[in-house]
Amino acid sequence: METVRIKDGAEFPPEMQRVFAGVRRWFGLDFVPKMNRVTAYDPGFWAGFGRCGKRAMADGALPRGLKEMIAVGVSAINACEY
Amino acid sequence: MGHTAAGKLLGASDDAIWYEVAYLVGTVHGMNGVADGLRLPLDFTPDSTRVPLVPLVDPAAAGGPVKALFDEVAAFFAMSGPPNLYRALAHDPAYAADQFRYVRHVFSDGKLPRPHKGIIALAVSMASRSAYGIDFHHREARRLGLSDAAMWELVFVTEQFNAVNKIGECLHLEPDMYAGLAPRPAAVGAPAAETP
Repeated sequence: METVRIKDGAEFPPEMQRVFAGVRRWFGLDFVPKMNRVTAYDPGFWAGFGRCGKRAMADGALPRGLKEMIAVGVSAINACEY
Repeated sequence: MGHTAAGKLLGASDDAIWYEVAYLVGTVHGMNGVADGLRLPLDFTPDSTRVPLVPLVDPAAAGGPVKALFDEVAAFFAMSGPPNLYRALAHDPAYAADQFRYVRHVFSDGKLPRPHKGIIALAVSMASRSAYGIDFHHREARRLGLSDAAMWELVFVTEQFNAVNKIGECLHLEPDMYAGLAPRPAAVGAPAAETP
């Protein structure tokens, strides 16, 4: 069971709503994943972390699809259910 | 593990890709565990603290099927001799031969090209803090073409997901990314969902 209440997307301020619209486009989802809402809970954390995440996962020298596979491998090693 | 779902949402919808990733991650983790557990010397970086728990088979003294295996492994990884992992596994030649049979399969071109597999293997080794795996797969990924720019991107993705994973674990986050995937069709011959 989750140990905190995770805010609904609509509870975030307007500037974050714009970010969340980008997150939905990024994943092709009609909702904002919990992890994005968790890391956006504290704007001071999100300001750096969110940008790092976007930069890390964007197409670059490595294609985004391969980065998702790396993410799966790292998550498996860390035994992370999420 | 919602990023399997994320990857599928991005278009990598072929299950065969994810089987390959799973085999690769599991195989690398298995090899790294043995190599670090036995404190095997690193293959490409001198480290006097790595004193193996078991004697290693001397390639110069190997003959028959062990020599053939050593030659095959060395050729596959473009090395002048077998990796120390195989010098350890060769204590049981039959096991070592079967082990390399699936390792070779896992690391060969498949749905994913071999260089991509080397990159994933390096990231997995970093995530598990395997000194042997980092040394081995860094050299292998570089040999297969990993550039400095790509290396940094690999590092950033690994750092991000090490962080995200622990944030999720601390808060016991339940997966939600699967909600974005289309329902999986029932297997042929499987009972329909509404069958009592």
